[in-house]
Amino acid sequence: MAEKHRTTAIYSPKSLNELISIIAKEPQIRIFAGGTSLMSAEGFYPNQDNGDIVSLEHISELSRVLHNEKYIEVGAMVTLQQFLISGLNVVSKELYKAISQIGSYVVRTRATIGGCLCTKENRYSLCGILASLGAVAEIKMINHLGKKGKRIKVVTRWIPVSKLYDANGTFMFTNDSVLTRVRIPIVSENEKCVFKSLGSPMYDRKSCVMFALKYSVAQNASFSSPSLCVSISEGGFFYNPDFNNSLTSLSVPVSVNQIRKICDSFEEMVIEECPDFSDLQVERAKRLLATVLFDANTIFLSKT
Amino acid sequence: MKINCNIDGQNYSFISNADKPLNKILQEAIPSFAVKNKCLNSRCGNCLVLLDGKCTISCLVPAFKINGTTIETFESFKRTKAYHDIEKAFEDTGNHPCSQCYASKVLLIESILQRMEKKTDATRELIAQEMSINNCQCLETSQMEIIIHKAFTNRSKRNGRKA
Repeated sequence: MAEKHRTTAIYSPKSLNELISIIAKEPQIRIFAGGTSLMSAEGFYPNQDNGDIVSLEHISELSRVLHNEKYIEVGAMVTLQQFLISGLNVVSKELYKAISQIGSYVVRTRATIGGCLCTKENRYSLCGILASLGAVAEIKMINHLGKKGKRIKVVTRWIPVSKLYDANGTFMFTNDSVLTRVRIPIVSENEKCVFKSLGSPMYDRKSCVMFALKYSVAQNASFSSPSLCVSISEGGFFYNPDFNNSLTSLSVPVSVNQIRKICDSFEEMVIEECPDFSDLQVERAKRLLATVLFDANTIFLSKT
Repeated sequence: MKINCNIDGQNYSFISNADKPLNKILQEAIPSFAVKNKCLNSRCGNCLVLLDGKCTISCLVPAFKINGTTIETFESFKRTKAYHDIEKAFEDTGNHPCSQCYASKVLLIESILQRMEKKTDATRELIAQEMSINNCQCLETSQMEIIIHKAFTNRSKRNGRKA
């Protein structure tokens, strides 16, 4: 079974510093986390143009899960299944539901949190719900200094997950940067988190819609701190602070006319900002928003 | 890259490209390999194997990850008592997967049975989600549910525990 193709070199760094040195020397190197996205890419093998691979498996700093009263912090190499087990009594049920929908157990034992967030174009349910929860991701960015760019400076920033993607759903930090961990706020008792999806992001890529909303209801019966994110598998990520502001101070129960106006405004924004949403996906997103607003009414009225 | 691994009880040592998918390695190593690599981008689920005892999609595993591992394809799994629990369940329920996906469905069922042994509740939703890996529609979810619960009963009896 001797191969005649160019041999792909595999790097297995044991620390983040080692990883950063490798990426600095070979910016086009392929990062191997769980491998579910990389290996399933069309034409992955055999391909003479394939670059070398750096495997993150042995970097222990990337596999940690820590939590306190305010947040749970997950390393980029934590698999989805590990996260479900570690975060069982900590994370919101909606986040649990969103992750459970990603593939099957066989896939989730390989797919990683970092990998799910960093795939260049395909978006899964995790991205949207983390954006709505206000999660932040630690990104280490490599800056080349000096005349020949030989010296490197690493800048670490915590970036909201909502700002990791452009409106087309493309991950914006692919070159010379590494996502190392994600910090997810714990949903308090006063907050409500909703996750709904229509279609499977794995098998209905052209038509599925993933909807996530976090909000609370203030004492004066109005929406407080709403955070909405709608995403599709291929080519669309909607997170608009202006739209979130338009939901703020909305009195509950929300009237039918108000719901209709909000949904119409939402539809216009999605069409303008995310042209890759199909008509079906826009309509689905709009209906999901209406459903969630009606459900909020039901919850509020059942408590009064 | 030099790879040392155990495939179906036999030790192999060979040179391979580090990024070569496991299913391609198995097709070359084992002439009677039951995996049919007709998938594109891992969508068919027909290339399942047990990697260190865990059900794995072999086209998603590169060569550099199998060094030092034990790989069990359907060919060797069907000689185990664990397989007979599942085969008996097919016979008892009168439901059989088609020949195209038989190997894959058996290993998927084995994966679910392993989780049931660790106290995971095999609900219809869980079964439907697990079965989504294999897109063959020869068996409905309700049929799979009956088969899986029957297989678990067979296994529990064989192991001497109450189901």
